[in-house]
Amino acid sequence: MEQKNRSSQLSRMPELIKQFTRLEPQIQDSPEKQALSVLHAMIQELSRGTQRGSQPGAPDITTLYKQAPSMEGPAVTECLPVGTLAPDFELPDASGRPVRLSDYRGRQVVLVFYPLDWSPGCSQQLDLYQQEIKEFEQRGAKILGISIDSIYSHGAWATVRGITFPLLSDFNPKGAVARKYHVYREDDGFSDRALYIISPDGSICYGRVSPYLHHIPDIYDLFSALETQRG
Amino acid sequence: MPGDPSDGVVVYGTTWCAQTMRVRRFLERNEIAYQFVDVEADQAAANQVRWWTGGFVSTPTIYINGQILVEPQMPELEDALVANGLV
Repeated sequence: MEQKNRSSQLSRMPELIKQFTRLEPQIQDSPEKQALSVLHAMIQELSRGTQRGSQPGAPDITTLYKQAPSMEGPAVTECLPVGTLAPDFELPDASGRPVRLSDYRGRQVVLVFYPLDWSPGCSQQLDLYQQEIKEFEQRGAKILGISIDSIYSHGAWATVRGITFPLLSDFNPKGAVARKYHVYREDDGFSDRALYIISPDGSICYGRVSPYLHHIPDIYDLFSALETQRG
Repeated sequence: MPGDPSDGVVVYGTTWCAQTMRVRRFLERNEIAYQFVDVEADQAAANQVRWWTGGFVSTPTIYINGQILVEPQMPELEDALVANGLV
């Protein structure tokens, strides 16, 4: 009986939320409005915890970035121009295996320069690319992530996040490849968030630096560029 | 949509939020119709999200047939879609 009542109460929840939603434009900004909003958010979070179940013990390492300091600020670099021959490089991946850009001659490559492993924006950006990995493959593109982190950091981070595409370590000399591609932030010691598409002939056919460090490039623009370049 | 919710799926986000893009791509791959609202371009929508979240323009915030998900993990989104008969 009690269970039935609870189900009955929960079944009203969508309609109650709709009522709550409709009230927003009718209430002037005020501390009272803010208090109601905060109370709603608290109920939301309580409900969320109940649904997912509380997990005492070690924190979920995949969401640690949510408590990490934010990384913001405007870009300070500009990409190499389209049409430039992409500078070749050799960097180790997470297993220490050397990877050269020229290894991929004959297919499109997406170079993903990102600031740092474990940081909020980078965790979410690479999660997105991993989720869309088949979409990249269908467009004939290979993704290579590049940051100044060590191979050991790359290995741990990739394992935690389930990242299967290569993460290259621009560690020593620090940022040397990011410098070659004009996306290194000298004052910060890491790169801007930047994307290059390298065409099968080895030339740069697309380059974008995110205007802000916390802005992730639009995936729809990236797919469109890959399709355009592929013809 | 803001202030007059109807049935359906609405994704409130930005064009540069990775998690918003993940959610949109997930919905598209599963052929689930949705409306995307850019909260940077729609002040009323931003106000609506603040109303739900205690004052924050949290992205993505997802409205599913009267259920609100604030920055959900993907399993939470999947659970909500299943509960609403959309998957």
